[in-house]
Amino acid sequence: MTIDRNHKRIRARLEEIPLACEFVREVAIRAGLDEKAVHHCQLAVDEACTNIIEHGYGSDQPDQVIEVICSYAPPAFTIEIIDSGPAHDPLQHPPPDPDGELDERRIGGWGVLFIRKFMDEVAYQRRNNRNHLLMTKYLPHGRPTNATESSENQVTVIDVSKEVKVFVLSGRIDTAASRELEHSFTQHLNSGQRHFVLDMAAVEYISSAGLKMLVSVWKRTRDDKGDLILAGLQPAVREVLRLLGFDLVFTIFESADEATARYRS
Amino acid sequence: MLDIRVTEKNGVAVIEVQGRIDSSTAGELGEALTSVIDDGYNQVVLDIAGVDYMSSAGLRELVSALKKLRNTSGDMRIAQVKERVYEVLELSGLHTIFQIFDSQAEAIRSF
Repeated sequence: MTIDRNHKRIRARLEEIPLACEFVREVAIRAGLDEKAVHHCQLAVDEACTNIIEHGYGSDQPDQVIEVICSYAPPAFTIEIIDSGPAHDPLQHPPPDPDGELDERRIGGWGVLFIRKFMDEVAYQRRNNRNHLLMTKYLPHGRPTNATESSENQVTVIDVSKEVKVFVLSGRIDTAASRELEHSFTQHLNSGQRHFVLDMAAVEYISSAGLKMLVSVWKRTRDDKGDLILAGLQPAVREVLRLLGFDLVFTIFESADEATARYRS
Repeated sequence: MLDIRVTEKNGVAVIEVQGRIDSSTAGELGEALTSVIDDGYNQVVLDIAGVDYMSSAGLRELVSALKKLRNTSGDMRIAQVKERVYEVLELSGLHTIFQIFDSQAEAIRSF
């Protein structure tokens, strides 16, 4: 299964928020979220955009834009909201108290609480002078269904030189495939290899277990003064890495050829 | 745009709302509530059978109106809350602060 990525841009006006909600609703339904989860996603987007317009841009900047990006990497449905307003981490605000008496209640401030409660994971990042709010909802039984596919995974190891190995991967890097791969890396590491290029041009899916495995191998190569380079990532896989910030950890090349050329020079 | 209808039954102001209550429409609800309170009603029933969606902007208007009403010993009671909207009330703890009724008639009779 590939990752579905969709993008929508709205102007920073309250009356355009329903457009963002409708967009997210459609993508979420396509991703297989149930009615309740779809509703939660809509509310989270609504609250996030409202905050940006009311507190970020301010109502006097109606021509600014808000970007909404939905990525679906089963079982995670992630909504990213991007704005160019002043740096602002909404998650820093202390949430209001749902048990507060009426007299003690502040009138507002519930938006961020809704985002936190209705989504399974929320993260804020400031990148390139833009605010990024990442909100993830997990499908309840969203484990990738065809786990047998992992047995079709192919790993071919090419010796570029005595020191450099290229691992050509294909298919899905799920839990089972990750274990096999880690085992293979361990054998190479134990025999003194420490420069690896991962050709991932034929990898269409990587699970969180796969990412964990990559980070673990990367740490071990680094400790041995080696490296682990990723190459040829499909856009969807690259997006998952980017969303989780792993694009900052790994050295990424467009193709395995470019990566290995680095060692020749 | 919300569809808001205000009537009076047994001295109780009944506000029936239809539509999506979010940050772009909550102001309309707020205005309707304010005008009813300004007209001197202190017993209000808000019937939201026609509301499938309410964001925190809607809650803001509800709490603001309730505060005004309770200051004058009045009250606002809510009728026919849909499941998704109830979830929002519950999350913010407002389900314990508002009296909520299954039907408009019950809500009116409760005063």
